[in-house]
Amino acid sequence: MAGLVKVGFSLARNAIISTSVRSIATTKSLNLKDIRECKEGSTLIVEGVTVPSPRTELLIRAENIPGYEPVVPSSKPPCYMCALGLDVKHTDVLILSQFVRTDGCMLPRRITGLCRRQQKKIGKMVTMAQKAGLMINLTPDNCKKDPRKRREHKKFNTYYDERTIFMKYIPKPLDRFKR
Amino acid sequence: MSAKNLFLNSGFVRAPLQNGVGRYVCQLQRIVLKFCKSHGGSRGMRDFIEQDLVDFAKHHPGVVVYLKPRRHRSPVIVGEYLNGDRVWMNVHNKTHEEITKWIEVLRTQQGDIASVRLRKYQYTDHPSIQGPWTPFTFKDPELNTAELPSSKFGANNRLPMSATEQLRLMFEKQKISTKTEDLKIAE
Amino acid sequence: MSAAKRVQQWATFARTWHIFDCKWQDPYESANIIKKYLMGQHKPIYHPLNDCGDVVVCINSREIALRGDEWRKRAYFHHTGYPGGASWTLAWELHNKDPTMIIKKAVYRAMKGNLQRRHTMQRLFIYHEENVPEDIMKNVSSQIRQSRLVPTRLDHIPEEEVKQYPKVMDYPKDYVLK
Repeated sequence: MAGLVKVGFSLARNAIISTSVRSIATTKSLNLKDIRECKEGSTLIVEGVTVPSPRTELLIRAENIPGYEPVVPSSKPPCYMCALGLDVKHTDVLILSQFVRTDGCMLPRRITGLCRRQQKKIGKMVTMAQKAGLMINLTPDNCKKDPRKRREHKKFNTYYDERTIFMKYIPKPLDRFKR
Repeated sequence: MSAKNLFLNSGFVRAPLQNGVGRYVCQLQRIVLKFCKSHGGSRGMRDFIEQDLVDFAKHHPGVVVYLKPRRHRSPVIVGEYLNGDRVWMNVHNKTHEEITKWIEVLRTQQGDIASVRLRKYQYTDHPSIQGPWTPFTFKDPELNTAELPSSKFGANNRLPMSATEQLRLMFEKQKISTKTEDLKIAE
Repeated sequence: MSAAKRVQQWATFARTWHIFDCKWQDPYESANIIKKYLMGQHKPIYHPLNDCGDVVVCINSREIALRGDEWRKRAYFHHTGYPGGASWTLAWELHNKDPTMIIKKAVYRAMKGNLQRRHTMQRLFIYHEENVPEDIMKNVSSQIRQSRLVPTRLDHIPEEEVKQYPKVMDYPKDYVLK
């Protein structure tokens, strides 16, 4: 029953406000798009405006920094995050917030363009930062913005150890006895 | 616990350099050689008395030498010093050469230095030039006027630079390099 | 003992009052730091038999941070002595009841269990917030450095700075801004 209601609701919503992303994406994709809605009387105009990326000016790439030595050309070139060689921690919110949407959701790999390992690492660090309450302005609207108002153990400050992200791959002292 | 009743007297290491600066005073005042005339254990002692004792007494007129023969007892040397120390030494079965050397040791040493428990292995008459340590030595004078708690004195200042700061520096570098490249192109 | 020597003695063995900000600090890491100051191990004159420990005032003990999921995994054990009197309190439950207790227990456990420990603990003052009584605050003349960096929340950084911060990632050409 609940499912039926949900489907009906979403249908109704689509019928009323036809702002689904898909209808835009089917157009020829050329540039960064900003979806703008404006209401004139009873008609709702929705348009996808191509805008220049706000980040191009501030973009940093390892190959543009003087003194950068690229790895051996025979091996695969590293992704831009690996090339920078930064030891990012979950407290570096200024870096991590670039990889999330406005609702705090991690962007997929086809958009971030990271390698698999970095995507996993940064995704987990974003989770850590969210759990520690460091990026609470990048959360869905129904979230409690104040970490103090969370319940039970979530109420108190928590910090994380970044080594636990790839703990699986760190050999334990007893592993050498394994056959 | 006090060290008063322990077996050994306690003391500090010292360098007796002042003796001999003006005039050397032999610290050994009296030496008693106890021995047996017949027992084999006193053989070396008897050799020493026969051959070297007269020379020893002639060369060191400040030292009183006593001989004390006693039947069937071990040979013993007892030295008495200017500071009141008394050193007793058993020389049973020691050879002539060994006894010569030991007597030389007793003559040249300053009192009973062997039986002293050293409290420390170093000693100085001038412990500190700058004065003893207090909680205020080496303190940052800025702390006197600082409003505590402050993040300046409370934050850990030994951590490596965070990635956020590193990226900022990298960006500055990149900016400078692109600027110089643009200038080159303009030229 | 001459007057100058006597004053020298007072100066050397004077107790210093330190303040320690527990905000975002791991209590078990910071207990090892606080312990040294309480027992006087940071002084060159330290000896277990001389009484040279300092006083430490901990503030913001409500704001301590535990690692990972320790708030709900770490349990504090207590036994009343009667049969069935055992109880296990989770760290977050204990912190709800008394926000000074975790740091107090951590410091107590960091020290060796001898007769001196309870007297040394008397020199530790813990407050769950920044407000410290005036008569205690006026003694404080030094601060202990924290072990962990206090993180800054993204919404506390000025918006202009967030905008001007160098960007690592650029959106692909066909990305729909959201």
